[in-house]
Amino acid sequence: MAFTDHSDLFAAVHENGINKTIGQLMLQRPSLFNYATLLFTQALSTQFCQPIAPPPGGGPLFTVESPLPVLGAPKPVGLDWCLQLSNVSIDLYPGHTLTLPPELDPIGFQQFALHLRACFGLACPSDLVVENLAAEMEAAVAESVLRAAEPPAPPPPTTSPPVSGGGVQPALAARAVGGTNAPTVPSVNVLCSCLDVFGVGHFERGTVAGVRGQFLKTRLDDLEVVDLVTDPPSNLESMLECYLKVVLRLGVLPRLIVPMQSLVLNITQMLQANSTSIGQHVTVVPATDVPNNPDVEDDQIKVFFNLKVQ
Amino acid sequence: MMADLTIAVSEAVFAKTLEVVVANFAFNVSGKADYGAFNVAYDGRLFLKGGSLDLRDDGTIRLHELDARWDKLDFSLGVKLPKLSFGGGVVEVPLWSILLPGAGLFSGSPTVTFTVHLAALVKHELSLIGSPLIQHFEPGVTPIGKHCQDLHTALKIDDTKPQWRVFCDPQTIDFDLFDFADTAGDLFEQAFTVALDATLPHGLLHDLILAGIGSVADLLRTLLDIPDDVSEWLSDLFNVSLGVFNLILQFVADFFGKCLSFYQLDDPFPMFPKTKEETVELPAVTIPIQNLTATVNDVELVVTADIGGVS
Amino acid sequence: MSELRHDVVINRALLVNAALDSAAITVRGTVFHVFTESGDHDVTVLRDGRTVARLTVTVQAEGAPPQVNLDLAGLEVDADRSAQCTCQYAVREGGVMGFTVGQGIGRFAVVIDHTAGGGSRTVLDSRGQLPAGDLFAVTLITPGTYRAANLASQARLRITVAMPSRDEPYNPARPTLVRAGDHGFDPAEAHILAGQSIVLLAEAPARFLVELVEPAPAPHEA
Repeated sequence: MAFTDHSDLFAAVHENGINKTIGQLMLQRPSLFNYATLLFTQALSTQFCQPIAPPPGGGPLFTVESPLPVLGAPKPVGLDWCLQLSNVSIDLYPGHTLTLPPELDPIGFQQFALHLRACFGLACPSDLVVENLAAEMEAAVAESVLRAAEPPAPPPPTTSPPVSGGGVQPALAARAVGGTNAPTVPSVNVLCSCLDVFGVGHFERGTVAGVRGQFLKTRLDDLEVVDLVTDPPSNLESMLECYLKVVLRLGVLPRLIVPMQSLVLNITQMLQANSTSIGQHVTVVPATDVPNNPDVEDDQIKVFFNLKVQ
Repeated sequence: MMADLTIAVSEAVFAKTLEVVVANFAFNVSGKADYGAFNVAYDGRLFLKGGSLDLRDDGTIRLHELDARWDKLDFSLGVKLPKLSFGGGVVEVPLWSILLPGAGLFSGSPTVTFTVHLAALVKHELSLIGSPLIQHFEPGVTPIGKHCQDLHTALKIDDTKPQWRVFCDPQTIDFDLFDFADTAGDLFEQAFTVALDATLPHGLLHDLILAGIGSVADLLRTLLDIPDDVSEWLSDLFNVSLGVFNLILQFVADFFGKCLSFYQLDDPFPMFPKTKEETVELPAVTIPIQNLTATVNDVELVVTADIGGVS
Repeated sequence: MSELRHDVVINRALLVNAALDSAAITVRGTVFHVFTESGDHDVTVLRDGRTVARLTVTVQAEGAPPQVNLDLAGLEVDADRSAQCTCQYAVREGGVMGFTVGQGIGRFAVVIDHTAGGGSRTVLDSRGQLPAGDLFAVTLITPGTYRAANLASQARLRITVAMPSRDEPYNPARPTLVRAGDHGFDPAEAHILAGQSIVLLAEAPARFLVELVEPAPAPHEA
């Protein structure tokens, strides 16, 4: 049986190739897989949950993110943290490369499995530091309470709208504004915890409401966080899985849909861009008479194209 | 073990590609030469027609009976007329001989140039058998001949980065020599003779000149040193003296040989370009490609490669 | 279907049938002077009565060619405004200089003075008679009957010019010599093919005039 029995052109990438590519991406663009606050460039640079190798071509080690806000603090303050994704790999139908958790095993026809290890590190401040900061927070609250107890100043001659709130916590309005650049609580210890996350998905072709044409979509079928065990047992693992699924299904995967027409390679246009004109309109278009395109099987992603000459 | 990347191209794609190439190909060639008593110049444009491309089980690709025809083949022949004169000769007088100067028919040394259109009178056929040849090009290490280097420069081929290059390595190239039919020779001779005759003065001088030289055709043959067969002379001129045949053959060999590849892949392959996000510059992401191979069977050409792992 | 380009310029003077006069050298006529005395000779070239060039000929006993041919029409180009040509020629004693006209309609004459011992003596003035020993060659192209006359002796020569036939080999470079003495021409008649030359040798001072008397009928009239 030939590769091109059902189309003019065939291309396939084996899961090993995809995993090696992911490996190269992780090595050369570590900032796509490592996120941390600014302090990790300085005082906490040796405190990553997993060491990061400098990329051979230079470039940042991680993407800088905002600190984790301390909810309710009278003055804006946050905690330093890091999130590192590693061991990213893919296993294509029929599988057997990854050892899947029983909830996901085995993967079905045309499905693929994805695994990654997520390590979260939180820079946890010492009690002494927190106590010192608590004194500052109390001072801030006391000042605002005392200011609230004073008789109000006479109104100015011209009318002006009354100050809103005037309630218990007038400093709340300022907190929301200053949240992204909040200073962090100094700490020297980073607590790390790692989880293995597995996902199973598939590709499908479909329409998008209100938009013409077909789209190639990536669908998440299931997700499992391994061994988030609590004593007594609770819904923590399920809640986390639920949150991740919603984030992926609503926040990430919709951004990955690809209109089918963008998969059409316009050869004539490419040649014209290279100062070569031809009299025909030559394009490479996805084949439509194969059952699955792309086709996930034999540990490969296979795509089928036809050459059209008009 | 299965390769990381597999690309297959069906025989139908080769056939369609050949159709597109044939429809859009043109090869311009021109040149001139001076042979003393005469000079020649040619200006032509070759195009393609027909032909078929087969993939074969023995791992070869066969191009069969591709016609190469001339859209334009202008051939200019310039002959320097000899000094024709009347009178002259040597007269013997007592004691010595006197050489009489002749009365020249023309002023100076005139040239008559005649251009004929030979396009319809000659065609060639190209057949070729080749197999894919893979080369890993290393700049500064992989040798490139001078002629090939000139070709790369003219075609703006970048020889400064490592690449995998796939060539069609020809095992046999069968390209017809210029073969002008007998009719071509006759037409050419007749047309040029008439043209040359038209430059001679008519009337008495014309008759006298012909009496002296025999015929214009004879003059032409003497000037051009043509043997009996003008067609053969034309063919030799194009095949050997002017080297037009070699020019075309060289082009074919370059196109199908180890000079111009029909597919190239940068190694490492640039997966993501260099980008700048706000003030942060992210370098390009490149993927090393290894073990590129190409095989042919009677249905398809298959190219496989591996991706280099992180060392 | 085809194109023709050429820079052929026909020497039209060949077809003009004006009389050929040794006193007025034109295309198809050549005067040959024999230099019998060694030494320097001043040569003045005139065209239609006007001096157009002057040159010097040195006649030497040895070490010079026996013949030099000059194209008088080409000489005019080489002379400066004062008609002084920087060309100098050397001829062997007893040698000959031929004065011919390559192209154009000019009528030329030559005066040669022998400058020896401070004096000057004219040895040739072609406007008059050619001295004994000199020659006048004419190339006749139009077929027909010509008459050559020696105006000094009133002798006449009948010349028949015929078109070469297709059967016989034809070579225009085969001149015929005729001697012109006090008692007439020898031979008394000459027969040549069109395009060939008659060379008249003056055994006594002579002035020659050759004219077409009766052109031959055109081939279709024959």
